[in-house]
Amino acid sequence: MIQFKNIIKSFGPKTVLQDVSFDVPTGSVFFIIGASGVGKSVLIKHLVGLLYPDSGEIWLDGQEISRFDEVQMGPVRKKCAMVFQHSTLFDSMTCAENVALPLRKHKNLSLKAALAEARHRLEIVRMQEFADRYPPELGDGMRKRVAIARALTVDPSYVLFDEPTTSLDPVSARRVDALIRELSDKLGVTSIVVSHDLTSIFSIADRIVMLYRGKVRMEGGRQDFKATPDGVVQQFITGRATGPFEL
Amino acid sequence: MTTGNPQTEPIDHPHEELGAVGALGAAAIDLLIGARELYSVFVRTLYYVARGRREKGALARQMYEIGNRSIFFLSITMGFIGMILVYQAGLQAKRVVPDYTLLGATYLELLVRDFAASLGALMLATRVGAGIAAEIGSMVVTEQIDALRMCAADPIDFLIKPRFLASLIMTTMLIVWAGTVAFVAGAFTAYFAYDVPLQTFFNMALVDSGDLAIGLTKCVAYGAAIPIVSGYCGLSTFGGSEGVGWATTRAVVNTSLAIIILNFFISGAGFLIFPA
Repeated sequence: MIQFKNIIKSFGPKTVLQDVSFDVPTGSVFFIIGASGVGKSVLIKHLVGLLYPDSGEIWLDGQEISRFDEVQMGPVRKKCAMVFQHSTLFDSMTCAENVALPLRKHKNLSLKAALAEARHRLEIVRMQEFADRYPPELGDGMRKRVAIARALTVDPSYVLFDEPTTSLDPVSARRVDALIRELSDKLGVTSIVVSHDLTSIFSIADRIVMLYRGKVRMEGGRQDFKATPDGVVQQFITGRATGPFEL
Repeated sequence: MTTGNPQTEPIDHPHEELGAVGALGAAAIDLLIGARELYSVFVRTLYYVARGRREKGALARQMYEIGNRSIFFLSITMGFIGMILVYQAGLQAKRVVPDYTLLGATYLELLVRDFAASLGALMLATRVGAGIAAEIGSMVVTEQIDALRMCAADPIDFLIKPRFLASLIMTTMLIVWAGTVAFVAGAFTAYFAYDVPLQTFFNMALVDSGDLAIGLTKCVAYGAAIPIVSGYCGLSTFGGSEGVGWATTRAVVNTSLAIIILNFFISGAGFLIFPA
């Protein structure tokens, strides 16, 4: 279980998150939605110590982690993997070496053992034939799948996806959606997905929280969102250009 | 530097409303914070050099990038600098004592004690320092540094350490090579411009162990300063491509400053320990 309690975060004079609180149920596919720049990515980075809140608490499986230092964050990052928006594979390493890196660092495996395990992990995302290729040689969808394989190597309980379907073609995007759903259904992994891809949201989300102007505007299931009379939420989920939604 | 995510932090100008004295004080505090973080990068690099795991091939790759790829640039620049220095020195000598017998010996002492290391390192700062800052800065703005941290790989261990070790080795070797090129270029300049025989120019009488010790100390100090300062500039990048541009500029400026300041202190210490 993950709990965000009264998170406040500012960058200089700009307050991005204002008293954000919600719980993420274990085993669910949990979407965080909202306009670009509203602080969705900023929020999930707090969970793994890539950012620290100005105030508020973050609880992970009964432990308050918002003030953990880099060393204490090690086990948290092993438990909560992250797939970044632009895949962030290391260009100087092959796909197999990219996937092997967390195995070597988190699990202390030898290079040979890590590479063997990495190839197996690439097979799961159907990328085994590209194991010895470098990331710049691959398309966006392929890189995303390698990034997902890298995130899953340490067998995390939680996976944070930062806009996983952005810049992907529709077929690749739906494959990524299916993979996220499978993780939850078959392995019991909790997925926190930052997205504004409406197709993804309304096909695989168990719970959704919407951030608007730095605050939680609404939290609920897919049907709750579809049925809400809130004009701001309705405008966002229907993608209308005019209405009460302010950027 | 390691606790935030610089690429998401907007550029603000907090000193604008403070007035002259306040802005000066704020700038001094910023300088102190920067110095502390730079020191922290240096100490953590030494820590990982002592106990971190070696990445296979990383050191060799960086030695190639820093060393082999700088040889042509450094040879050309130091060759021309050597020619200019000897030509100018010859002109000055002609006015005062029209005798060139010690031109090579004094030039060699100057090269070994100071110029080869300092000028060579300044040249390296522009090529190597800018490259390190741009590469690491790009990794910051594309979240690759965050991804490294998520993989339990400390960016200092993974990125700065191999560059630090490679720079220590290759800066020393490059400076020895660059000094040789500058000396040979100077010898031919003296031969063609002032008819100084090559065997007269190749005179090592004035170079002693103190000069060698000072020169080598500078090589090591500059070799350490270039990756640490430029790596720190890269890691403290914020914003997008504009931020990477600023990081690169700061790396060249700050590395050059570090070299000049180190030169002052090492030369000062050298004159105390090994008086001429």
